[in-house]
Amino acid sequence: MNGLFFLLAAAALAALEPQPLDVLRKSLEPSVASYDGRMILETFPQTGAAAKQMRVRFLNPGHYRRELLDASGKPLQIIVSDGKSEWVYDKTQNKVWQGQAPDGDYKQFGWEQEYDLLTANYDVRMASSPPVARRRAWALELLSRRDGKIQRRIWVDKKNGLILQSRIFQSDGRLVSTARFASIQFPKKQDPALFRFEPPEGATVVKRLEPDYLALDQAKSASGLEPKLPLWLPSGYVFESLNVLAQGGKKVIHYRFSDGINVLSLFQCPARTRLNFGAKASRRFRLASGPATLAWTSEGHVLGWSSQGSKFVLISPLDSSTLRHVAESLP
Amino acid sequence: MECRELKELLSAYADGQASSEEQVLLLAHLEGCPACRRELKLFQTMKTALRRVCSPAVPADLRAALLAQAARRRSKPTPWLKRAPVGVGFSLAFAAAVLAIGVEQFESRQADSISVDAMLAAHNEYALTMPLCPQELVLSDLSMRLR
Repeated sequence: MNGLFFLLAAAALAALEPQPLDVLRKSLEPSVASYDGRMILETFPQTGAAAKQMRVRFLNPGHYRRELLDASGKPLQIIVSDGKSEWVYDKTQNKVWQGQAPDGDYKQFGWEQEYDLLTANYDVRMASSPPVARRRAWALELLSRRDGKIQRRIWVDKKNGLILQSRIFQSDGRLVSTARFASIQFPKKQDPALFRFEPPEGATVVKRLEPDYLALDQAKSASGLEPKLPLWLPSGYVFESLNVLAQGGKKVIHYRFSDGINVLSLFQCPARTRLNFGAKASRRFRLASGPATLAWTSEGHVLGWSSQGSKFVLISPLDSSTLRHVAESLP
Repeated sequence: MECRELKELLSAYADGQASSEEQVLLLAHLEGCPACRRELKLFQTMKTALRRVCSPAVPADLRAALLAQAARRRSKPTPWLKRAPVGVGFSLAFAAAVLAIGVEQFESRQADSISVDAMLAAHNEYALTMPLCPQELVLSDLSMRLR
């Protein structure tokens, strides 16, 4: 009798648990909860590891203040947004970068399209879920449908859908970074002055890149270049949008591809330009069209090469042989 | 490895663009090759000299004043040059021409150069708009956006 009772109770509890896709959807919706917390950010490069601490305040809608703290808890860098503009202040340099806040509206895909792309490329399943920052959470795992490898693990607050912890894995399954709340509160009121920024006296103020998007048929008129898109893309990736950057009086097309989580960028530069890799670790790389340069950065691989007079650069966390395949498929 | 195979690598090394693997190869070769050491030294000297002559843009008003002053001076004979032997004048003219060509080439290289860092910043700016992007991670590293 007791056994039957427990069985029925377990079935009832399971019925109450939401489906993984419902939790994912909830986590992707813009946060309505205002909060004030402390985050631990860790990165795990191939050698060594690094951890940073950040004070994070959010005021709905779209206002945020993030302070990167030093070991004694004092802010080193401050990032403030009133929902439209964003200021990044580096105390050590007394320098301010001003630009637009990151916004999903600066792309062609809407929220629904992006959700569809993500769920087409990733399996989502529930995992064991210990509390994070003393908050009850659902844990989700996102596994690539290409190779079944885990790409993300996220912990979603059961009450308000806020992502309390993220773990990011590389395409080979290696953990590369984590971001988690060590503590969090949801105050009813926050001082609005925290979300405004006035550059301090004597600070240098510079304008940042402005995010924007164009459709493919606008590329030629905006850049003067004959657009060239790869004929092959890694499984699950689609062309999302492009942007035209101005660099030293030259126009560069930035093609943006996505699989719903990761980004693949292709840059097309005018003829007779030289790619400046700076001091990045790099090596020579051979493509069917000729020599190329392959560099490694925290964003993944950077592949630069020439083709039919133009210079191209690919940036992606994907492996170098996949990038070669993309590069060699350019018409 | 032969010297001629290393020529390109020497230039990349002087520009700080050789990979660690290439650096090991090159340094091993340089140990036993005085000719390549001399060539590398030459690359590095040229690079330093060109960096020195590539100064920031002169403000328009200062430029105008300097040009006017130069024009006034040109109208008067320069005693030092008048007294200098023909050989010295020729050498000076030749050095100036070489420097001018070097500066012109360096400036055109700079003008034609596009920074991969700016592309990485654009890539990261876009990545910030992706679903499930832990923005704090990107924002915690200034260099990822503000290159």
